[in-house]
Amino acid sequence: MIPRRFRNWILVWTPAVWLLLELLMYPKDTNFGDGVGAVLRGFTASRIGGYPAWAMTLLAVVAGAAGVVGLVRRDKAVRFNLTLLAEAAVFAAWAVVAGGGLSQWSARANDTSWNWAFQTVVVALAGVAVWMWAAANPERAALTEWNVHQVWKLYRRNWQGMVGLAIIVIFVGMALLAPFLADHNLLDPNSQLRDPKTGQLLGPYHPPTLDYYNLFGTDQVGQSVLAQFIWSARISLFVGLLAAIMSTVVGAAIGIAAGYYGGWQGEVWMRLTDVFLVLPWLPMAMVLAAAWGQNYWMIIVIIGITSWPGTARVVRSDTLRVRELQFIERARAIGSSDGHIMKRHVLPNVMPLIFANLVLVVAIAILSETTLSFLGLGDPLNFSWGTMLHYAWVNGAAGLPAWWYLLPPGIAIILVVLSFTFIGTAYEEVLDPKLRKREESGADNRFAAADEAVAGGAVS
Amino acid sequence: MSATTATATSAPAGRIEHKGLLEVRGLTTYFKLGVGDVKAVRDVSFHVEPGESLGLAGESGCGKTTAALSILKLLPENGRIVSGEVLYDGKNLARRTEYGMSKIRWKEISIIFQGAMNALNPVKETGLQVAEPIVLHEGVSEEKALERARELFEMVGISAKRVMDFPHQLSGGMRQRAMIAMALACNPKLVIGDEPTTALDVMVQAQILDLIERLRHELNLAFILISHDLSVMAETCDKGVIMYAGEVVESGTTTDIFRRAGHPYTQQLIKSFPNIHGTREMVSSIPGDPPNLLVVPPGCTFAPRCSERVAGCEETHPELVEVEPGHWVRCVHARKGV
Amino acid sequence: MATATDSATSGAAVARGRIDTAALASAQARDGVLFDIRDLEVYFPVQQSLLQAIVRAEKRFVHAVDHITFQIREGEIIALVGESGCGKTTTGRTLLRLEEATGGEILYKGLPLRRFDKHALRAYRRKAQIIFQDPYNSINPKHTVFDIVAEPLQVNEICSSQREIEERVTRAVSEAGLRPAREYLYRYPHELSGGQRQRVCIAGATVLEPDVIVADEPVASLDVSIRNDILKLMVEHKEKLGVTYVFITHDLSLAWVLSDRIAVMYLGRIVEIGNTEEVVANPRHPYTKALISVIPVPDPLAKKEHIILKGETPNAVDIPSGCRFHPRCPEALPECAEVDPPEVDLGGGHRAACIRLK
Repeated sequence: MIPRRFRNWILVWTPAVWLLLELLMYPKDTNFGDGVGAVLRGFTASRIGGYPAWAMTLLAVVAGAAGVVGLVRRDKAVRFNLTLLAEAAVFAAWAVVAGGGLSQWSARANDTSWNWAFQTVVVALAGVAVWMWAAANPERAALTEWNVHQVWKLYRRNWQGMVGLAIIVIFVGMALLAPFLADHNLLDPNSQLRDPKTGQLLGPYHPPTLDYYNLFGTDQVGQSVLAQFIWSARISLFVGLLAAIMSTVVGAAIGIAAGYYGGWQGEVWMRLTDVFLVLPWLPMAMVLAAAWGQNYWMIIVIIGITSWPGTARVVRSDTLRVRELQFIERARAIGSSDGHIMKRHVLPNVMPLIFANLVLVVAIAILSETTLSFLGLGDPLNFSWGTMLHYAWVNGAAGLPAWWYLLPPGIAIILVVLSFTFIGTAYEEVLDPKLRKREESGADNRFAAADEAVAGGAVS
Repeated sequence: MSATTATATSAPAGRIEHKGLLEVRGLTTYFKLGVGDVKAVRDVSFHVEPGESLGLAGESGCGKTTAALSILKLLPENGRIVSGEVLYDGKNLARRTEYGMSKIRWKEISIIFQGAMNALNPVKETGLQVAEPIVLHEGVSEEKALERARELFEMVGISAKRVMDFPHQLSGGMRQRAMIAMALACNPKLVIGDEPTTALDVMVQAQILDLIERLRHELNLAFILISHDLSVMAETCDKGVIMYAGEVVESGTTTDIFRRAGHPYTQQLIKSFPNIHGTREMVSSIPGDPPNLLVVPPGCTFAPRCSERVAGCEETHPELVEVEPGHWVRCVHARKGV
Repeated sequence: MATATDSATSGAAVARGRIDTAALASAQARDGVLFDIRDLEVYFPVQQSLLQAIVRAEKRFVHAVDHITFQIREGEIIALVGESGCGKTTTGRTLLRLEEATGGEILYKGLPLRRFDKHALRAYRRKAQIIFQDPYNSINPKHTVFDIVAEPLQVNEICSSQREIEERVTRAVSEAGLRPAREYLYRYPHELSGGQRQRVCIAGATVLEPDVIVADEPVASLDVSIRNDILKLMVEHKEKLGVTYVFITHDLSLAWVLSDRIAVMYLGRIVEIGNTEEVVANPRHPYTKALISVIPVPDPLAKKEHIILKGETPNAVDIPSGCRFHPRCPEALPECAEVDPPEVDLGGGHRAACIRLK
């Protein structure tokens, strides 16, 4: 195992190194001599990779400022502040590169693969920042590590969970590394695949060969199915995850409120939940998609709105249990408000269940997104596995038989949903208090050594 | 502790001579955990005469419940009697088969489990639950068993009319009486009570203990009382055994133990119970924790917490010494007084 | 006995209707009386079935606390002793307004508790804390020791900086006997033994530096050999910090070693109250006499007569007529079924409610 201090530094600096590699890998013949003015022009461009420039600049300034202030104040969380600075630097680099600050690079202004790469780095750095923040308090960091270690020990025993985790890691890796695995330009409507040897167009429905981009053959207009497949992973997983998070947040909030308050307030929430539970989600989703337009953010919202009742019911019943525990009464006795109790006492005790539920909801959300896309309600500007299936179906690929167009997305969906289900059920097993008790009562106390060292304290 | 093996010639074939009604000799019980064996009971010996009451006292984890369960071979899956003998009516129960044990359980020796009054089936009438062992062991019809249940209810102080009440209709004290009735259903000679009064109010406790006394004398019943409450043991038992970390540290009559305690643990433990008829002083406590029984310490198990510890206590394991006739103490400071 | 505690401020405040934080802050305990409980009544309604509601059957109540009057003095340890169902826990909780009184008055430093407004109540909660019986369930298993002990400070917005919070928490944890505090601050409850957990609960109560702590069976779930440490802690708090303890217990002998005064309760009433030694040495109420006589002592040669009462405590919904103890009383007279005996002053603060004492 890598010693802890090296591990954290690797985590911090890997995205930065990656960014550097990105910069080096892409075009040559650049002229950096355009000067500061050209660089600054990047920040004042109207759009950076599709996002408003002012927003990117603001984020860069805020992250940078927070990092600098933190370092100046000698906060204990040095690495956290450094990560914020790194994040600011990435935003700035993005602005420069994509905002058109340097003339030779301005052609890349709307080059989507650049933007995807930057996005990935930013997200990764944000994750690192959160980790660093948690690690700032050394005792709490040790505890978090201990808890994760304990959960992992229990989780490891379940073979289904391990298989599910492995499959998901592969697919998430594929999604994150998409810019490296497949040139985004291949998704452009105009870029059909050519035979690398002869230079000729491969044409529509060309069966798979051993060429990298032709591993999954071509689609109805001659484009690489593999490229579409790899980039679709991003949308399918992203939409699934975000929709699941939204649904869980709404569902958990309502569930906790309904369970904690009880009485007529609780009844109101539950009847509301019942209404949404009973609504047939597919027709409603179709209506909403027709009304709100089709882009993947709308899909996320639609799935979020229609799938929260399940979570709400589950969370409510667990809240009813937690509400009766005596520490809730103690919290009231020391003067806590209801909101404080729900946030700091009920929520942490309900969280394991919420998390297990979330994993299963992700599976459902991915399936929902696939369904909507398959029916043609998905985002036409982006590829997802459901969209691929839609095009395949609409263009009669099944009859041809262009199996290479139908199978990859279909199998991917099955594997991903199945894996999330495995992970969800494995985690539920981890939550089983019966299992946990045996672990705790063993000679497992990591403070045992410290206890022996504590001499003379009035410890009973 | 020496075992008296009387002349085998006068005994019938296969019959082992032993003291009293039940004698436990050198009982050793281990539990198998993934990480090793928990040596829960080690070399425990005591005996009960007919009609006598014996108290097994000690704090949580000292092995008293395990010793009791070992007598009836009611240990969980991972428990086993490693060595020693449980001698009843000339036979070693530790070596008996399940079938053999089923003849003993309830018919000769019965047990009232800890918290049993809360383990009654909530959807079955109490009287029927009391009658159940009668039906099972004596093969009589349910009506006859119910008749006997009514008698038992009266014997333990519950009105016979309440025999068809459900457990939730009875108070805590009455449920405990019902458990006692159940234990007496097949007219055993020995009853083991594991913390029979722990969850009860003090007045109800007094009633139950009084009832047990009365039944003991009426039916010439032997009783083993397991309790962490030394005061209860002092009031109700003739003899006592103090256990610590799986071993017997002191045993003898209750007068011996309470008036002339020999072991430092016993002395300290007695001082942890207030004596409302004595001097008004704060109860004392014993610092530290009992040892982990996965790895038994080589010397005296109480030494780390003992105020009378001397050099050698933590290395040599003390043996039981008879400081007065029938009064045994396991301590290096004990002097043989017979 | 029941001294007039209407000071100028509290009188004006009472006249105004609601007690606010200003009135609370300026109040003081007159003659050392912290709580003046007068004729306290806490009844819980018994749920009626639909049929009963339709026919408008008479409402029934659980008479948890049925008109009790006593005082709690500053800096004393007073024990409320009785068997289950006697109302001692309800009384303790009502003192903290965790239950609402349905009648009577609780005066805290002369101010009626019932009339505290929302802010005054929050301020009051800082001054009056509670320790529960079960150390396993009364603290949040997902919170570290630090979180648990710091929470009262955070919720009441007492400290101005994180460092101050850390200081006060460390001090409270260390004073509760968990030393060195740093070793314990970031542990989770399941990593602590029962006794250590109870100390965490105590630290959580004392961190606010309250005037009074209600301890509801604080040592009942703990091993006998560690009870002493917790009890000694309570005595320390009383002596060094002047904390008043209301010790609720079913164990009269523990109350005897620990408390200054004892109030014996039966079915919602105080049947006897007085200085501990006096009450135990000269019990005057038949119930107290019976209780003391049956308490086991660690001495097999102690010869004493056991007054074992028949039956069990009746439920608190159908209270017996007259003296509520008369069905079980070994000294009952015919009048006892008709007359509810008033408390008789036996001198020196010792009172008992029995018709034979006139």
